[in-house]
Amino acid sequence: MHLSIRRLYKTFDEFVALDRISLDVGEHEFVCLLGPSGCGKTTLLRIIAGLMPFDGGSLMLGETDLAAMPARARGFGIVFQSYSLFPNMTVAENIGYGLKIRQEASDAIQTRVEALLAMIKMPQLADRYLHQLSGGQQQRVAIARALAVDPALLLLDEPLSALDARVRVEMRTEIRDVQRRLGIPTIMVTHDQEEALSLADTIVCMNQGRIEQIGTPQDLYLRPRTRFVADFVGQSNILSAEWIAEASPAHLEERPTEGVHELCVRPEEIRLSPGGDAQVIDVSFLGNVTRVRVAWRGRELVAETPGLADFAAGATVGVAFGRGAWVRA
Amino acid sequence: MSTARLAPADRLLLVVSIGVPLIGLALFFLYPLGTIAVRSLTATDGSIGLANYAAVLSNPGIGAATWNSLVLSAATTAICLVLGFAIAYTLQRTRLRGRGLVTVALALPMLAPSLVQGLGILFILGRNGLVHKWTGLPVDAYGFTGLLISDVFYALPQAVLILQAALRHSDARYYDAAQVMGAGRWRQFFDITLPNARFGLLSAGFVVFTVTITDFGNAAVIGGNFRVLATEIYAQVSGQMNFGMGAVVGILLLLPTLVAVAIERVATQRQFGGGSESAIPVPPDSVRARDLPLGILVHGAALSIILVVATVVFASFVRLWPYNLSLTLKNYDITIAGGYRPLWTTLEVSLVAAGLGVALLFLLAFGMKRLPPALAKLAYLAAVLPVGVPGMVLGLSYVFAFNLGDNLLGILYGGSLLIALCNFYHYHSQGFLTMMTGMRTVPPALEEAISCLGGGLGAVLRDAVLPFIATTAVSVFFFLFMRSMVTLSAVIFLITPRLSVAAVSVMRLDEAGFVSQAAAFSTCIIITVLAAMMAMRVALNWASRRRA
Repeated sequence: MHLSIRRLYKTFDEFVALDRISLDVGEHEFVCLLGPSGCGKTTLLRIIAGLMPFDGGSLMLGETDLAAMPARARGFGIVFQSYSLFPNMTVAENIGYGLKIRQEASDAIQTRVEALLAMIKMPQLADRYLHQLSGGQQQRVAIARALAVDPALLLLDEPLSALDARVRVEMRTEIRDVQRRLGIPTIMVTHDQEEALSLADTIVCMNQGRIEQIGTPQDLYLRPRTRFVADFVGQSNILSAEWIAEASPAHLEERPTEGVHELCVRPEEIRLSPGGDAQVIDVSFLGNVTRVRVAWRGRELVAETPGLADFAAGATVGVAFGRGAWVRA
Repeated sequence: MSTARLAPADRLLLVVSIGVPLIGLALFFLYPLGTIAVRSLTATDGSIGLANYAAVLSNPGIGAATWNSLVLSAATTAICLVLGFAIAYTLQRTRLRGRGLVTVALALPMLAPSLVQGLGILFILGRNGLVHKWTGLPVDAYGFTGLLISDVFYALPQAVLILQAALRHSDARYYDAAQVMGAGRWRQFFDITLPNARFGLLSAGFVVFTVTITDFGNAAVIGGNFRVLATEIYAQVSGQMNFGMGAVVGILLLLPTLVAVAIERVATQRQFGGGSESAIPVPPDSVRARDLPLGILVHGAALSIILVVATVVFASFVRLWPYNLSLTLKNYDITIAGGYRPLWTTLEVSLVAAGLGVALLFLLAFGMKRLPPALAKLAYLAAVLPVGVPGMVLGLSYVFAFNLGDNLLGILYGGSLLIALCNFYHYHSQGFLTMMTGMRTVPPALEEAISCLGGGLGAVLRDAVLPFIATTAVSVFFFLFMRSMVTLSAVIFLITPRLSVAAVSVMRLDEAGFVSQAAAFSTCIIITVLAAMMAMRVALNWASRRRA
């Protein structure tokens, strides 16, 4: 079913937490709410879950108005960052909990739990307790528990943030696989842009209670529309129009005419060549790429080249850059 | 957290869970307290005015009692602060041997009614005490000195608890820095230890002052002709049936306590606001020159407390203290003052107070999180207010509120349920704060996960809250139980010829001159409470094993 949010509004005392948010989530879509802490992404997720009331606008699932429906009646699955499993129940009891609440027959619950345990690749751990599991295993159980009730919508609130870096990357693939296989519409909150880029069909980039941009990961990276998105998703050189007018006037042709715009140039779009009017400030080797900071025409640029770079600090280089993207300041 | 929509059944559950405890607070705490204020303004002829206040102010007896109470409490506070700080410092910062013994000694006064200290001191230092018998000196513990000693023993454990907490919140890096800069031990003590503990000292001081000025048990047993406010209020009401003046004295007793509680609250907030999460605890160490005098002082105090309580227990088995020390069980054959019935009544009252109390506190703490913030603040205030009301005042207010024929609530008077309620509301605040702390360990994410999985408030209670709060609930139960077993000040006004409690029996036996029987009865109380504590240990172990 299709989730549709229209002009959703939420304030805490005087503070506007969500400023007229409109958003659609399609039937099989994986949507990431991405933004810095305090941008309103978790508030939005909690409102969708029914854990928090909202002040204005509408929230519809298909033809159903969710505004008056308590969380327990919505039939959504939710996974939190941590501490949301029952410490006094086994893995199997945790997974079957939602079905037990729905008073389903115990053999039906058992069959379902076994299938889910197989899906999360933990069939032998059915009788373990929480404190006998690793962080990644706990999150797998939490996901299985959320999926057990065939949720109409799966909500993930920073599910990977409490995990080690390596486990986090593994779990990303697993979440993506399961979501694809089951085709459940999913909304995930994250502040990690890499996570959002690798998982989402659609990224909703939020800032100060507003949506900055909605688009595919490629859209957001290659065609950011605002300076905030350009800055938050990936690294970028943000160059003012005045500076561009002197340094590379050809780029001005594509500048939109309304409002103040700046040019966003990704570090990998900047090409450096030996000998020129720019000076290398320093070079840092990052493994797969090398980052070079150069001073050119009164400002500092960050460039990245694959592998090793054959420049040293103090060398003079020439600078050329690709198309870039004009963003609203 | 303000919850979004609730299903109708959940809304009902929430209203009940918050409504019942709040109605209880209003009916059995706020309402009686209101009646005491009204009664203090009602003159004997029924007119409203300040006549009672005028009468109290012009009464030379009460003037003297006020002065006596202030001097006694000030002296007790001074001694408890010095001794308490020495003990807390020893327990927290030194590796002195026998610290376990000190801890045991400090737990003893909590196991028995406050009169036991007085009783023990009379056995040792009284006109017919051991010291007199051995030395022939004309010692007499009745009066200021005896009362001072027993009050110090009674209040010391509470002072130590607060000061220990204050000392625990220091940071080892202050001392490291001071040492690097060349400060000696005394300098470190006066520049770091003492200033860091100043809020703890302030807070301990006020607590000691409050419990001393409002204590009735010791004053009744060992005060003799040294009249204090707590005994005065009892004399006015019980002896002279002068309810109006009793109410005024009650209001007077409320003042220092309320001030003390207010200052203490500010102090604790300041104290813990200053300490950082990452503080490195100060490691205990051994310094000979410091530990020797400290050890003599601390162990001296601890042994004195143990000696006093042990004397009571021993005296209960002695034929004729102190002249015939042969052992006997005849003191346990108690027939006057209702025999052992009051002990069983107390046991029943304490079980009811603890059971009812835990249920109400649990519901209140659970409901608090789901109330709108403004309402929650009011409920919180009402829940912590009882700590500022001395037992004497609460008991008296119950007389005014419930000793009425024409009132529907009057049917409770003379029943054990009212005593249980009085005991529960007397210790409401401490139980409530503990329960709230326990409630904070329940992860909010777990409650929300249950809601999303389709569970109602009932499922949240059963599967998220109960497993996390079971341990806390057990300890709150036993706190209420133990306090209820030994308290005297509030219930002294609620007993009737047919219904009495254990602590009152001890007092009655002592008044009638049956000191050995009083000791025997005290021993029975101590044994009962000890058995309950053992049961608590077992229950707590069981609860924590189930969670693991």
